[in-house]
Amino acid sequence: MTRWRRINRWLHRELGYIFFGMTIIYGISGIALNHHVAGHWNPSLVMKTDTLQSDIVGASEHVKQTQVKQFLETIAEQKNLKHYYFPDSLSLYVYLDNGHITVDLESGEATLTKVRKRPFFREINFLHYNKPKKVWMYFSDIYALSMILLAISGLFLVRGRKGVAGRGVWVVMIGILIPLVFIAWHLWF
Amino acid sequence: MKTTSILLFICLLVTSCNQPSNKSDKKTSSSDVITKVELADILKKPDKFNGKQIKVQGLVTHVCKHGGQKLFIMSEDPDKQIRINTSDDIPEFDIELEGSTVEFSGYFKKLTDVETEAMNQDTDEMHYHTGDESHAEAEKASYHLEAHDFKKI
Repeated sequence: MTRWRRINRWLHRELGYIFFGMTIIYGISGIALNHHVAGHWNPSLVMKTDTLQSDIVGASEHVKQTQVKQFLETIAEQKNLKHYYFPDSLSLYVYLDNGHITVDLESGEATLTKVRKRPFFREINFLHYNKPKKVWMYFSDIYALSMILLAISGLFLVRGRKGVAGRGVWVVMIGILIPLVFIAWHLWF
Repeated sequence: MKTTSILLFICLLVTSCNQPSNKSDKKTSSSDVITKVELADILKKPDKFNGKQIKVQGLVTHVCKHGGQKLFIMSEDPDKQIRINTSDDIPEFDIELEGSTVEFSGYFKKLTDVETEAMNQDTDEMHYHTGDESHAEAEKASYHLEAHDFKKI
């Protein structure tokens, strides 16, 4: 085996080992974020909504604190009250420790939304979105460059008929064309 | 094993060498003055505070649930809200800040027309922002506070 092939194989293997964890993290969070952008779910938060009926009806200036507290007692949320305010004269917004309630002051209809953090996905998305910034940004840049090196080195791992000089080149072309078609379709034409 | 360890060491060396120094890159220093201002005053004349370090306090009405990179605060009038964005010093705003009174310190920034238009285009493309929320106006405003610190009151 020639020297450069040995180096290429070594590079591909070692980068693959070092960044195995990062690739799993970015792969799973990539799927999560894909579906987040498509509006299918929120990967970082779990939100559960219930519709209730309250007796808090009337213009905001007539709503008393006791009414709000009494309603919270009926739904066993009185200990979770943080604050409340009136976004406009016909709405009430109540903040709870674990969510919020919006009340339509015309009908008394209340929407209770409970919010909690989604374990695992919150953590991996935190990294994929580069929220730590600073040092993490440089480490993830190194990872991204390593992915490019992995892709290039992978082209030359196999020789002969099944290598990049053989049928491999056509498979590579297909892999490049697919994203190009999407770009051209959505952005250029 | 030896070469892998060297490769890993180089990765760590590069990332640690590029870490910003705590003293020289920090935006605040003992000589910087951070002025406490009322939210209403900012909204009356936002140009006056452009580029200045300020402190502002308010009730957190909404933390963006899609990334936690911004939130909105109001003082007493729910129609008067301001947008607070994260910075390098704050990775994200916790959803638990909603409903709390918080004091934020940071740089007040006024965006150019081009920047504002680009920001609003991004916001409009996000289907989960309906535009009916009480903070909708603040969301599209051409100014915000880039917070580098905050504390609950």
